[in-house]
Amino acid sequence: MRETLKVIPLLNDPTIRYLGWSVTFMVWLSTLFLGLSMIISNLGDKSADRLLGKVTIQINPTELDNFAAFDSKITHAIETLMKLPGIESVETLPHSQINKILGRLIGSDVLPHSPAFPLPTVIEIQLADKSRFGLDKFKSSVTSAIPNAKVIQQLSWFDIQNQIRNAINVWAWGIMGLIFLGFIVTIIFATRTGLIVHSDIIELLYLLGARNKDIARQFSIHCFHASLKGTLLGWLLAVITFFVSAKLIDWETPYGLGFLSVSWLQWTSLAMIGFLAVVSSTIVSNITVRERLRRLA
Amino acid sequence: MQLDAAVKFYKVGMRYGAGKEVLHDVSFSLEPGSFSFVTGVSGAGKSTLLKLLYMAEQPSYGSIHLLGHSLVDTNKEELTKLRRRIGIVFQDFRLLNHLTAAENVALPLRIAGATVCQVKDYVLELLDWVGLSEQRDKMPSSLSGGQQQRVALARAVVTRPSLLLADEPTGNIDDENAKKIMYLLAELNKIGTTVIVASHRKDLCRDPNINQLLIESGRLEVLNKSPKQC
Repeated sequence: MRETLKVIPLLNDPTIRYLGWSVTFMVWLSTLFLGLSMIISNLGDKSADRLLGKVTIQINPTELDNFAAFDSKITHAIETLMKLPGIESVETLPHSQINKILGRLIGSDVLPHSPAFPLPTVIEIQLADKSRFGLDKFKSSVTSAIPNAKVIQQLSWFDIQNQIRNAINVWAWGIMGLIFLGFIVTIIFATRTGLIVHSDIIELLYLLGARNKDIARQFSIHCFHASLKGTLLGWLLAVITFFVSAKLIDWETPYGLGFLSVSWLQWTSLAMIGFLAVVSSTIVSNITVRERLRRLA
Repeated sequence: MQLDAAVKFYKVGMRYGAGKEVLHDVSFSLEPGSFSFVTGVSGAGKSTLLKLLYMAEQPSYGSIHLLGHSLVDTNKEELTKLRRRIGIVFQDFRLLNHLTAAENVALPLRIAGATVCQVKDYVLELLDWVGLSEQRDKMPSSLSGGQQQRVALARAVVTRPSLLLADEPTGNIDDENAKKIMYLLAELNKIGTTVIVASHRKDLCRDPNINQLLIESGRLEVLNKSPKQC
């Protein structure tokens, strides 16, 4: 097997020597952006799952309703709802929780402990199969069967959330694209500087019978090693940053710890950033050297 | 046209950029296995002639044939192969300071694809031939000028080249070392290597069997035709 010739002292050249650190920084930054975008997507998915699985119905008492009449209306509503297709369970929100919601709206001190009139009742419905659920048909069935009932469409929140999530994703990918572009420019700059710094050695190798690819291989091997080290360090730093951030800001969401919600597939995607950095630096440096030498020849 | 000549120049001229012509209408040919001495004062064009021979420069006009190849018609891959058949001793040695003497000598073979193990014994043999076996692990910076020149010579002949070019090989060394170098070059010539030496020192060339070429103001004149010259 042919041994690779390594006679150009690239480690003595400051631009190329610090290439590994540049790679570390860029991989760290890219991993952070992609990781954050993934975490936000995951949270959005979980929240959407929750929103899509449930429908809330609010029934308001009329001026003529007393407690008994309103209670019988609620009982009738529950029975009616249970008969509708696609409903898994129906649950009335406890009065304490309704008081809490109302307290937030009108002030808890204003809210009487024992109201003289019935308060609106909120019914939460768990859907059996959210994907096949027709909300419009359900709404018309409910409003015709239960007077004063109001179906609260939580899906509008889902749309807003989805838009925010998509915007964050676009930004994250845009920034990652810019980082990647910067990375490629850095590799080209470092390689071309290396060619200038070591021009006397390269000329000698050329006169002794070295081919462009022999010289290019030395640069690409160096870039491969520098990128590999830089990538591993950058990735490690990104993981540490995630852990420390999760701990510091108490990243506990209603759907679990945000950081830990990244799946193995997503971890693999994050690792692919490093793989991409190593492969592209190796290829870009090789092409840069060959192209430069071809022009000089 | 003599295609079997080791070197053939036909009306070759050379100028750097838009400057003055350094070589003007140079024509000569050298037989394989000949020993030639190119003399002339500093700046006469000796180094330029050698640069054309080791393909560091291209002529402004005219044609050059080396070891049976026309440099104009030869493609890049063949030029690389041709370069590997030419040994060069540079005036300033051009040794790599971060490599040992042995690594410097082994460099052309390593470029050609040989492994360190494959070349180790042969390189030591060559260092012994130039009298530097003790210095094999030393860095060029710790060697004297004469020793560095001998390392450069060993590097030039390590591939057993068909053509050896030496640009002022005695320029930076004392008389004793200069004689050693000339002796080694003569030894190489005896085994069939075509040797061309460029030097401003005419006293090193007294052998009637050596071709003597004089360059003056960019024009080449053949002073002495050895029996081997074409």
